[in-house]
Amino acid sequence: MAFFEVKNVRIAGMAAGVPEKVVCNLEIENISNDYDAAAFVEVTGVKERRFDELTVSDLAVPAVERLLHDLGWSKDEIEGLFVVTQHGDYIVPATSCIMQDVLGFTKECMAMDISLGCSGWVYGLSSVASLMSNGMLKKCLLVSGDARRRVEFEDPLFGYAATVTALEYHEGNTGFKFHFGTDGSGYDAIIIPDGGARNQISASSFVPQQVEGRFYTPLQSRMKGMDVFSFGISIVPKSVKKLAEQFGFDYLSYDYLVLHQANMKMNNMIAKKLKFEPSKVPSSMWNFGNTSSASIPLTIVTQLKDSCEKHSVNLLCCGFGVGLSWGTVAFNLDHIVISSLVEVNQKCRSQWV
Amino acid sequence: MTNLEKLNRIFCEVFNVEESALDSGFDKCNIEGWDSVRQLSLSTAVEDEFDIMLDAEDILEFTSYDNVNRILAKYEIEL
Repeated sequence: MAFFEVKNVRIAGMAAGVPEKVVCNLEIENISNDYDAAAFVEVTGVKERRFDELTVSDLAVPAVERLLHDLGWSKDEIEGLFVVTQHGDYIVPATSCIMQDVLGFTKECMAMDISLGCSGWVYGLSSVASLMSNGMLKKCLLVSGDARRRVEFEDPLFGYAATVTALEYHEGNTGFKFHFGTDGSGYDAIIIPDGGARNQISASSFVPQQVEGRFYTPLQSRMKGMDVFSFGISIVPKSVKKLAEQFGFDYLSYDYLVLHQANMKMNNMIAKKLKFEPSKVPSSMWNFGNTSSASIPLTIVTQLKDSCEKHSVNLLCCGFGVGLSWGTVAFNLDHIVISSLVEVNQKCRSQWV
Repeated sequence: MTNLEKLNRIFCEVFNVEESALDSGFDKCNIEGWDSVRQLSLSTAVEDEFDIMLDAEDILEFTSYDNVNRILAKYEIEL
């Protein structure tokens, strides 16, 4: 059973960067051969999302800059930079290495990418917190997000976003309680079939195939919608309950349940199964869509800023999806710094590229 | 309007078909475009029309006209 607890580390601050450009799904003609845009928006809960010719580092760099400024942290203090993404700037090298240089971090800063999607922020948090818990690393940054622009593709479910979570060593802090799981038998429930080592890019990689009423080339991400729905509504309540049972707490006493922003119908079902009041389950899906590993921190930044800055709040967060992979974490945020949303355009990008 | 008429109207609107098409062969295997968005759209429309909250497991079974009829009986919706 993948349960563990990491103490002596706290989240000091969070920020998010999104493209300035807003796309409204209701304005898309021919969203599918089979239904109109209104039906899509009603079911998914994704009315708007952010989209532009920007990469995950384009979105993350200004968010990091703003958060460091708001925290009053010096760049020289950052000893670790971790980037969770499945759509890095390049296939090789790691985006974290590029960001270390662009941000002007010291060469003594360790940098590493983690390849996970919807569960990625929770996995990243556990990895970074674990490395910090003995006090050798004092201040680290966890960047998580995706900008799905490896090929031309505009999926109305997904938006672009990158978030940054600042972690610091804090002796005596209650830290984080985690539960993780994996079911690789569902690896093809969400997949980009071509372009990796298994299926090299060939002429057929550019030929559209019909999947669930929409056309995708094998270089574009496709999803078995009901398989993912079934996975989410069954695994998330179980993971939350297992974590609470393992560590002996009442999960309903937590202030908020922050779920990966997969699909409004699915998240409503999960909240209902766990008997969480809808007011305690914030959502950013309506304005930002499914933003993969950014969705949990983006929801905290955009929906819980006041609560997290002015109060001590207990959060339960669960990331779940591509892999299939899931992770649940319970922790406290005590008067942390949350930077105002950073909106990025291509002009901003040109300042550092 | 009877409950059966209400249900048939939902199917016709979601799948853009005539009422005469709704029979025991109207299912996910035979109907092109019966994807996750449509299945969730169908379940949402049924919940709104009959003022019920479907269990998640029942939504997963919304894969045919016959199944939906059977599931609604569980919620004491007489068709």
